[in-house]
Amino acid sequence: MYRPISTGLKKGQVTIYFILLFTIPVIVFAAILAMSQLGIFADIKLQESVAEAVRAAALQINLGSMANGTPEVDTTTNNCLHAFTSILAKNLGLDSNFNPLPGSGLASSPEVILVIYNGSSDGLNQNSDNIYGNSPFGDSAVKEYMIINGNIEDITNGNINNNGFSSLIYGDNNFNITFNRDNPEESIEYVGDSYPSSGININMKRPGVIAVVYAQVRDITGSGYIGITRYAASQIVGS
Amino acid sequence: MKIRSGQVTIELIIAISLMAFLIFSVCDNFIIFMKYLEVQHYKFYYLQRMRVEGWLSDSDEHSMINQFNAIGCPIVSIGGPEQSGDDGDSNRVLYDPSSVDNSEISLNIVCMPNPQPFSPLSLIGGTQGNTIINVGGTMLSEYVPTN
Repeated sequence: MYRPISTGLKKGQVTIYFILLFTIPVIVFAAILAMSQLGIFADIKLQESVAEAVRAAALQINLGSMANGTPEVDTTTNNCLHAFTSILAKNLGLDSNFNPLPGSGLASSPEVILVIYNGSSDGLNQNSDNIYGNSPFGDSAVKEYMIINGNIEDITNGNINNNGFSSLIYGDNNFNITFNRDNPEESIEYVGDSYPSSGININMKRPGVIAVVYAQVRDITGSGYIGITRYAASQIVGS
Repeated sequence: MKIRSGQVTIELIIAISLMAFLIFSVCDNFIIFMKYLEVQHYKFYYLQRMRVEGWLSDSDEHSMINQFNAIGCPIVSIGGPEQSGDDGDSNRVLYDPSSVDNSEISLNIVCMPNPQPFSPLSLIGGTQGNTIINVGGTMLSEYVPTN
């Protein structure tokens, strides 16, 4: 017996309407989930890992300078570099060659620019306000490293050294952070007392460490990736 | 073609059931995801405490267990130097200025969300394993003995 219903819907129409009605929220949910997953890795795992790595690096203080009351980051050994790479690798799930271990959220080896900044100068431009002066403890004024595909390259003779150093106590040692993948060695640039409008400016008042890390994070499907960049800086305080 | 009595209603029920199931699965996953987020934050907090203290103190351990229970993720295991460990004070990780490796302090937490997320595979005879959340991290200890 045929009995029309009051909605006037025909066979199959209900299904189509409901599929349309519910598919959109499901897609929205999935998109939120994908973005959240990326956010977790970018803003929690990577950011925390970089922050802890620079903190660990800045903790490698030259014992002579510490005893003298003018602590500097120790560049006479590779402890600082080792602390940075070790903590970063362990927190991001990388092996000793900086390649992602199974289960790591990274799709490839991260690219890193690391600057160890003491403000003390070995023959570089300095003035009498530099409270550290030529380091009597053998530390370099600056060391800059680039890590790509796990290869650590000393690029200390880059743009930072050429700019020299000036006063520590007046706070005019600014560093401009960008990440130019074509010229990664220019990612951390010494800009003296200027504040460029582009990029991020870090003012270093005490010896410390700055790092920029570019990483390719797996997307939620596991097949693609999204590139993200995070930076962190750590200074020695209390001197 | 004629529509028989009740046919639209049946279609409606099937469509609603399927879509509700789909939405439930997404929400269920999202809840686990949010729990993972909370677990990460707690892990970071207690790892920072360990960095200063050189180990996971008894009070921190109890507090951490309570907080994980409160968010519905009871802790299954804790990996890292604990005050409650068998070796007493030797568990403590000290700041060693001459060795990075000696100063490293880690915390690894395995917890199991309760209730467990629904596994659609169980509907078709698949085995439903336990879902666990495993988080961890490493820092350098800054603890220096005071005496």
